[in-house]
Amino acid sequence: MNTENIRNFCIIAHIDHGKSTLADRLLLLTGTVSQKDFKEQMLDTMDIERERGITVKASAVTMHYTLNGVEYMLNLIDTPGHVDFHYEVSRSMAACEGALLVVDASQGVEAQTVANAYLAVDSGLEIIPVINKIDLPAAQPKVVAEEIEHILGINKNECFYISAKSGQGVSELLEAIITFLPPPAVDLTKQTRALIFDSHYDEYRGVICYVRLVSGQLNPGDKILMMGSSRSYQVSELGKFTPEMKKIDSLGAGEVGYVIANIRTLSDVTIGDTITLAKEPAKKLLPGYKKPLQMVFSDFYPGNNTDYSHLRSAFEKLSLNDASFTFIPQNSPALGFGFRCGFLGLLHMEIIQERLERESNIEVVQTAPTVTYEVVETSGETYRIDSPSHMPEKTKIAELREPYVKLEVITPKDAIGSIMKLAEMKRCQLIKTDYISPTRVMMEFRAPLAEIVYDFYDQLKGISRGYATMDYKFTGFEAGNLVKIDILVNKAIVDALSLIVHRSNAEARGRKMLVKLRKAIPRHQFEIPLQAAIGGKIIARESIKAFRKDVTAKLYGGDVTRKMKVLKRQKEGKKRMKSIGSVQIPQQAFMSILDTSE
Amino acid sequence: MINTNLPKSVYIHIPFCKSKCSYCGFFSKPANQYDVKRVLNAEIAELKKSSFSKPVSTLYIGGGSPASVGCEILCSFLSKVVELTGAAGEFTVEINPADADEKLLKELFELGVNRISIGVQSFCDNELAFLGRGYSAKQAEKIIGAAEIIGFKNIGIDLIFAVPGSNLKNWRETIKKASQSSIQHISAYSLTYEKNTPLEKTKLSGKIKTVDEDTDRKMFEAAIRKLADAGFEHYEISNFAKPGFKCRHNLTYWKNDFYLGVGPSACSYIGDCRTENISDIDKYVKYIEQNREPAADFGELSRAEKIKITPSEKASQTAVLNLRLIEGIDLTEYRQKTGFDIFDFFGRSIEKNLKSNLLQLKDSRLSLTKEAMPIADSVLCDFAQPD
Repeated sequence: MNTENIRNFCIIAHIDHGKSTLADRLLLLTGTVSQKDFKEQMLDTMDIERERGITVKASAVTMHYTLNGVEYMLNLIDTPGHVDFHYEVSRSMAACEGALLVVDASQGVEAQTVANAYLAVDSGLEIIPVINKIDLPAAQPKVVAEEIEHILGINKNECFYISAKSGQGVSELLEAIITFLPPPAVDLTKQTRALIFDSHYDEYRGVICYVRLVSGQLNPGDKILMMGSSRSYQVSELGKFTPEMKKIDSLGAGEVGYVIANIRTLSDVTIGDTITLAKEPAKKLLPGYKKPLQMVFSDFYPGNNTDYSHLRSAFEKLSLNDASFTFIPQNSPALGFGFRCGFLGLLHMEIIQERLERESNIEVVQTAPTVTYEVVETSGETYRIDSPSHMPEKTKIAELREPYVKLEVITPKDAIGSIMKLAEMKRCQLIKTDYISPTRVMMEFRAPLAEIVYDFYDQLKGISRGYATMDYKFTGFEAGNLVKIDILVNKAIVDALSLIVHRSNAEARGRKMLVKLRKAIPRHQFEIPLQAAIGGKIIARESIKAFRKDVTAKLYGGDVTRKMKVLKRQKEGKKRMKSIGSVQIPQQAFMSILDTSE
Repeated sequence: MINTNLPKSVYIHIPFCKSKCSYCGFFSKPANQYDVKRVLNAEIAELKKSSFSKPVSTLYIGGGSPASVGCEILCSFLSKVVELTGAAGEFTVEINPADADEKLLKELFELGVNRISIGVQSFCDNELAFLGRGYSAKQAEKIIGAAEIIGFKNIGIDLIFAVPGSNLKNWRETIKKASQSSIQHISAYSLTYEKNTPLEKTKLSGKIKTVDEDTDRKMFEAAIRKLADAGFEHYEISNFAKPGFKCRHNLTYWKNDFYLGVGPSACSYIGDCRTENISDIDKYVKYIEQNREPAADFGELSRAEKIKITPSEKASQTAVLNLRLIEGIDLTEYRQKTGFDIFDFFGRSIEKNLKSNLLQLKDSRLSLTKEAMPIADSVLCDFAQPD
């Protein structure tokens, strides 16, 4: 198709502002999906996405629409909406020329709306502002339009007012996609270049690459070359998502589709790589993607029914369609062989854990998430550590730096006071406050990532009755007065429970950690001392009393079957825990040490 | 040819009592609400069509309270039972002091009952009142005395400790009284708050102050010590006997040998099957009268079941049950019975518990240590399924 008649666009929105509903509506309106085949959230293919109502994976769908007698090809590239998935959003944007910026008419501009809009502008996308859910009783479309103009600098008169749910205003928006958004830029490079912006693993067909063709053409049977990795393959199938996979005969410049090329090994495809033809290779790779930056790290150890190699292959499988997490073999004296994993954020971590358990049916024991620290040794050597257990001896450390972020919070103004209190507790420094409307405020903080990574978001939601939203962006490492707290269980340090915290509240944190641990570890046949230590000095103590009595008084002929069931459950309960020395520690104990609530 | 699968022990459940005690989790109903004769006839019918090795080695009549059906009915029932089972080497009848008198004991003795198990529970009147037993400590002592005079040479009593309101001092007195009376066997149980009993409800409502874990343990340890001093051998977690007076019937359970259970809610273990009769007296009678299996009708039965025991389950059950015996598991016997070496299935658990001094291995026997006794379940559970 003539590139003039192609539009590649994405939808960016805060979570729950109606991105998926709008995508669904566009599919219906263009006849891509018939009313009969329609199910909600068509583009979210993973169960976990439908259940949580969020989009995790970028997905692409091709629609056709005729306007004034001309047929247009519209490629909608779906993007995730959560704070953790900046990277995925950026990948999707790289394959687009335009973006629909969707804002809920009753909620207004949210922190992620701002972050994603800036990202779209940075990627050079044309933006159509869309105010959704105008049919809600609480809708204030005009106020929201003002907010868009005030905070994003987009003319409020450009806004489209729609209800994705009822379809109101969506036809007009569809036409605007054609008339407002630019077609793909004509790339004069003769050679074929296609950008891999996503991939997906299919058990039967191998790797399926999602590509945006920038120049040239791709045909089945073509020998292709991955320019970055220098690997060659032969294209066995080309197609489009409608949203089911549909074979096509060729993929032209400006188009979006998929490539199957008998790629069997998971690690052979690098997101961001350029596909070219082997017989006439392009000279230059397409501009690359931003490398994903893992901000949160956590150890995953094989649980009960799982062994190390099993866990490794599960990670390999997952890493195929999620290039944004890392896993590196790790050996813990307490927990044995496992992996140190890096994630974009907390939700990302939870999703990976859930997918591991769901898709590969394995159990994992997971340690509390931590951030990366930068160590400057007295020798001048500087390096990063992503686990407290890798911290060198105190005497060797000249400086310890922690990651800082620019944190933006948008909130109704009546929550300002409590947010300030929370921010102070979490060592966040207020940079500025900006009224985006008479009732809503955007606050910007300089914040240590470690403080906001765990439960900041939940607490923020709690104190603002769910109204405040946040987004953050890594700004750099800064020196801090940080210390490592070690936890001793039954007099032995459990490395997986160590935590790096700010000196100012180290004692308090240490005590709190022990209280949480005491509750999380069940009583044993013996008393278990718990201690928190900083550099060998004990700062807090607790103990878990032994149980004194645990015996069935009567066991006769009529009790055998039932008693065996009870004992079996008792043994299974023990098995679900991790043995450290002679102490059984349940999974939740590792996470509990981060819980700072009372 | 001798069928080695035939049970040598028979348990007969009399599912009646005059009034239900608040702590009791056994299946029993008030006798006056049922056609007792008809129920007992059904039990005879069940016994008739069941297979066991005759004469049985042990016969145990339990409940409920067997005597609650009345002396005459009970004795006529027992004589029919004995016709079918032959004279058992050990023939026990459970006696609730509230339902018993000299006349009854005499008739039982004449029927060939050679062991009686008296549910004394306590020699403290306030505890008896708490437990809702309906007799005084004096009455209980009187029954024991009467049994001795009539000629019973094997008298056992049940005691319950850690009853709310009790303390170490009065428990020691109870033990003393028990060991000074003319009995040969004592079962001493820590009060168990069985599921769905009135006592459990009271506990959950927070209206009673339960005895704390430490005191409970001390009471258990006191029983072990004091009864040993008085010549009672501790042979099972909750059971003590003068030399030669271990309860042979109950040993069947702990050795994991076969037994036949007759009556509503009674359990059997024969061959590779554990079965449980239905816990519904009317349905039980109906099934028997219709010549159906009292445990075979799965669909409508709430509790009745027939479970096939796999070889590995047998290995687990044998280990768990044997370990309740103070002598523990005879490793040679274990291999013969289960077909497995115990280390095949439980090597890791055994090693761990040996290390923590909760199990001991002596003379080819694996048993709980003294330290493990009060927390036996935390060790036994390691044997509930293979490592």
